[in-house]
Amino acid sequence: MKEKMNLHTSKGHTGFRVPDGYFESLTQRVMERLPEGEAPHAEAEAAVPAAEVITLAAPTLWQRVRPWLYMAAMFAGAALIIRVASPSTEEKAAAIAREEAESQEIEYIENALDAAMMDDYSLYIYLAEDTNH
Amino acid sequence: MKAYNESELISLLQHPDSCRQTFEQVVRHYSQPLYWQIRRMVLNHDDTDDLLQNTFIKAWTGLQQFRGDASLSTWLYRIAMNECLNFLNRRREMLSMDDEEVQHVVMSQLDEDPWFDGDQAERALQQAILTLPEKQRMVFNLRYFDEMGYEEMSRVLDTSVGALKASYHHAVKKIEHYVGEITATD
Repeated sequence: MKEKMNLHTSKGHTGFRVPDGYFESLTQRVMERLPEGEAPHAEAEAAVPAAEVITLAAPTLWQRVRPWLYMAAMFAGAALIIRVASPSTEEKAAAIAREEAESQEIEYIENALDAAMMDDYSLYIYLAEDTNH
Repeated sequence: MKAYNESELISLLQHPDSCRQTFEQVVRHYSQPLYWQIRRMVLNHDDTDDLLQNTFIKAWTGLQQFRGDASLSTWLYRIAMNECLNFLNRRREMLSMDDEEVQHVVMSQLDEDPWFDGDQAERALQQAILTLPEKQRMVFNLRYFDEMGYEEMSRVLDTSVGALKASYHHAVKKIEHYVGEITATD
């Protein structure tokens, strides 16, 4: 239900006026301001050409096998590089043996020193005299 | 004169051969209702003229977005109301004043406007409407002057029907109170 309002004035007249002939000339003024040519959506559709259908030839045997060969070559190359860059098994075993020998030697010396009851200072003097000879 | 058939117009607008000619009919048909709706928001004729032309130009450039899911009038009103809101925001920023001061400036300009010759009651009504927040002012104008239904208004303003009804109810109360006070003091 529309609310009744007491505004001391009629709805039809608000006091606003319009210049004579305003609406008559408005349409022409608006149309003159529009960009030339068709509406934007019509121009956009016209700019896109009809799709071309291209028939692809069937792939040859070489074209099908080629990607797999490339992949195999890549892995082979990577394996070769890793092999060359890393030390051989014999060299690894020799290196481990040297480390074990050094650790055993150090242990032997420590046991010998304990047995001789020689302190660090005395050991230093002994070694200094030994190198001078 | 050919009767206005909106569905036919929408169809013709989508066709490149008939688009421009059809759009001219749309401009001719909607000029006045859109003009008055904008004028009631911005009050000044020259500003209204600018915004109205901008509305139609935006409608033309936005034709590709219009798919006919809303009515043509809803779509055009929505563009026009957005133009109004943007204009009012820019004016407020330019003036760098609070709402009350802006209202005072606008009413002063209205008093000097050669395209406004309202009597005391009409001036009081405009002053009262001006006190409403912009969106509420839109709701009031669309309902009171254009007698737009709440369903269509809901589509134009993207607001629920319930909120619009409440907004209009409060607008009416405020305006009646304001106009009553002004006329009582005069």
